[in-house]
Amino acid sequence: MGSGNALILWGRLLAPSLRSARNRLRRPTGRGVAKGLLFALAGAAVWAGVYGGVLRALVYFRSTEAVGDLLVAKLLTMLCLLFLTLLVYSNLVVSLSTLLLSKDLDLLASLPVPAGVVFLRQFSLGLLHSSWMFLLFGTPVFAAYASLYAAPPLSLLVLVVGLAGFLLIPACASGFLILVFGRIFPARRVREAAAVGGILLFAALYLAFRVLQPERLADPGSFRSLLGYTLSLQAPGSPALPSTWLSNLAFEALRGQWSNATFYLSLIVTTGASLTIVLAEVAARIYPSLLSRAQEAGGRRRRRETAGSRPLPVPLRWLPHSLGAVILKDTRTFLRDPTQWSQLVLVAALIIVYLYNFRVLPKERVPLPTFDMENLLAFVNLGLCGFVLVAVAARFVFPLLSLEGRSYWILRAAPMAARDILLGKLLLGLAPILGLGLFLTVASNLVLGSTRLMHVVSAGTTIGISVAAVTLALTFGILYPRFNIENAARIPTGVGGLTYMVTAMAVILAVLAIEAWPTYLLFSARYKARGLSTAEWAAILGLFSAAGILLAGVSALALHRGLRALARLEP
Amino acid sequence: MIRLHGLRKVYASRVALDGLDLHVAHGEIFGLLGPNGAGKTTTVRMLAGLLQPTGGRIVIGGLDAAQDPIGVKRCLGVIPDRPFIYEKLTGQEYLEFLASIYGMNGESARRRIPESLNFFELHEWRNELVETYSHGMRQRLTIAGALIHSPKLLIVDEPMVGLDPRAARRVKDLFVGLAKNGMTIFLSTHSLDMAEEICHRVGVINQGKLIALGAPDDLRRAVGDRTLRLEEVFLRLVEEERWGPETP
Repeated sequence: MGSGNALILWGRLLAPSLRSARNRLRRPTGRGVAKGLLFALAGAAVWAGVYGGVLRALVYFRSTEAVGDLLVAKLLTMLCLLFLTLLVYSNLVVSLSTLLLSKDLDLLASLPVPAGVVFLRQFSLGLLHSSWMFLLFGTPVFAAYASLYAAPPLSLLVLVVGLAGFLLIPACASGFLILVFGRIFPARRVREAAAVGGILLFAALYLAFRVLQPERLADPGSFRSLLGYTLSLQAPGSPALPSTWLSNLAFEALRGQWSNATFYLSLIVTTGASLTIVLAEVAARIYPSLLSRAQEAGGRRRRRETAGSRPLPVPLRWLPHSLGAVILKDTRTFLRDPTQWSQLVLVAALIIVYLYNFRVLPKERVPLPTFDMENLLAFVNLGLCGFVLVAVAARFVFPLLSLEGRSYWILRAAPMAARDILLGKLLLGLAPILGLGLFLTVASNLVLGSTRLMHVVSAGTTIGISVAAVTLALTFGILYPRFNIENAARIPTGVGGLTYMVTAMAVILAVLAIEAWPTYLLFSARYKARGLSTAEWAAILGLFSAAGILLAGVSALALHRGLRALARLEP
Repeated sequence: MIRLHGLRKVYASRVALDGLDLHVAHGEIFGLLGPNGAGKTTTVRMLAGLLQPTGGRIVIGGLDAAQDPIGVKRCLGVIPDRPFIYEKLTGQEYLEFLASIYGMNGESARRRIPESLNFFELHEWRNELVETYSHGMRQRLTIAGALIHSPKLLIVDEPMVGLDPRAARRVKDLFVGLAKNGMTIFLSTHSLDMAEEICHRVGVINQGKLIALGAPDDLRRAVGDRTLRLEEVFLRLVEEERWGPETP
């Protein structure tokens, strides 16, 4: 088949996806319009926020005497490496679904179309789906650089072409990996292997990046000598990495250095194009057999041999039978799904970096008394810890009901009250979130060396925040269920997840605002070694009680709303 | 066993079920027939407690489903048309889960689970994850799960989908045997041969309304031709409902 015919077929195969997108835009429902507007606004706000933040940082860095431009260039190299890593990861996850697990593969494979064209169609959709995040977070970075250097308009065009070529490179790399994995494992195992491998890679890079302490580049004082600092800045990224080519292209084009820019542009575009051609050739040969393997079941997966019926595990025996059974079922489902438990690796990396941040904090250079500083940080830490808890609850608690998926009918048909279903999910979500919250606050307070009083305030507040974060996550998960989404990580990415995050963060900020003054009063009295008046004690108790009442009220209201919604929720 | 009084369900502005009145006796196998979109699955899902009626009453075993939904569900077994079950549990774990939910004691669960797995020829696969089961195996496991607590009423939506002829025969014989032992079976089906073979009475539903009710012979009598197969009776009833009775 000629390449012209292949291109026409490719276009025809893509048409249904494009038409579906057009139909969604043309015929939005009332709720759809609101969702679309909310997403557009949120997207614009994120874009503007990233642009503003990066530009501000760049102006600051560039003002550094003698090394300003080097610093800004180094930062771009690091950011491009980060983009490349994220793109490889997201392409790996998305391509796996589009190339091997997509529901329309049956139909596509039965059409009189060469498998190579089917592959190209799925590859193109994967590329689109995995690159939109880059548009949101990557383009404002380059726009900020363009503003910083008052770049000529032609450089923007060069950059757009370069970015298009750059996006092809991680997509092709992931495509090759999927083809190799697909030859080795059945499709279901490939998904699990890729998910675990991708997360391990991501966590390792995240930890490595943090331990390198990139913030030191903005602080020449932390280096032994100016020469060491300058050498560190001048050390280029690996010349073999496409991220280095992109950062060089951007830096040269934005400053109007056309001959260098042309070299890097050619390097990126020819690499992207030739990788795509080679991938298409390889795929034309082996994709048909992969499509066939993708239809095969994953083989038998034998669990431990058992005879007869087993009782519930000891920790669940004190619960009513049905409640224990639901918790056991959810726990088993979680632990047997590598795409689920592997996310715990990310949480572990997050905890390590979280505590590491406090350890490397340059407290000694802050012009505040040590006593105040440590306790101030411990108080601010409550907000950070709250944010982490909300994010973790969004990932693990929010999807708890949606993960019932199309099996939700089983619980609804069973003689279980909605209250028991809610309670089962609540207990399952609360225990780990509460444990994580207390671990983070206690450990970070120990690292900071804060006082015993601060430990008590932190622990009390964290318990309240954990309960509120979990009850809100459960309730929003019930109000915005997504039973049709199998990938748990995608469940909280819709309007419901976003609304939950905003609501929970607002509650945490309100609690911290209420607690700020009484905490300050307690510490200043202690620091100045003076007693508190009765009125001050009354105010302190009143405000802490108000924070407690707010958290308890939010949790109770959330549970009430969640219960009502669950009772009405039909499978 | 089942009493439906003016049962009604409206989705947005579409009336799916329009005032269904029905009585099904203990030990009876009742078949609900109807064309696509007639309201069969809606009826089954409301009986199973999966959907809330817009109006009317459901009384099962003397209990009002609106007043005591948990009590009603305790005496039900449900087999949906598509066997979506927990993929990451093994067959045995799925049955253990249901046994716990239905409050079966350890002794009876220990006895019933292997019995069920053997009967439905899943014993060899009992320790495999459900995700590796074929469609027919999942359907058999769903049926085993619905019967694990020996319900008084079995509600079935399209019971034979995905079963091979041998398994289908076994399930039909099982239903007949269960009904003889006093279990009531309410099934919705497109399989008119099966309805004719095992149902004591059938109801024909069209556009949310019950248009005929009785034993298959009663329906033949109603259309005036005792030699017709149930399929032809059904088609004639539905056509009459749509176009009015044929005039000679």
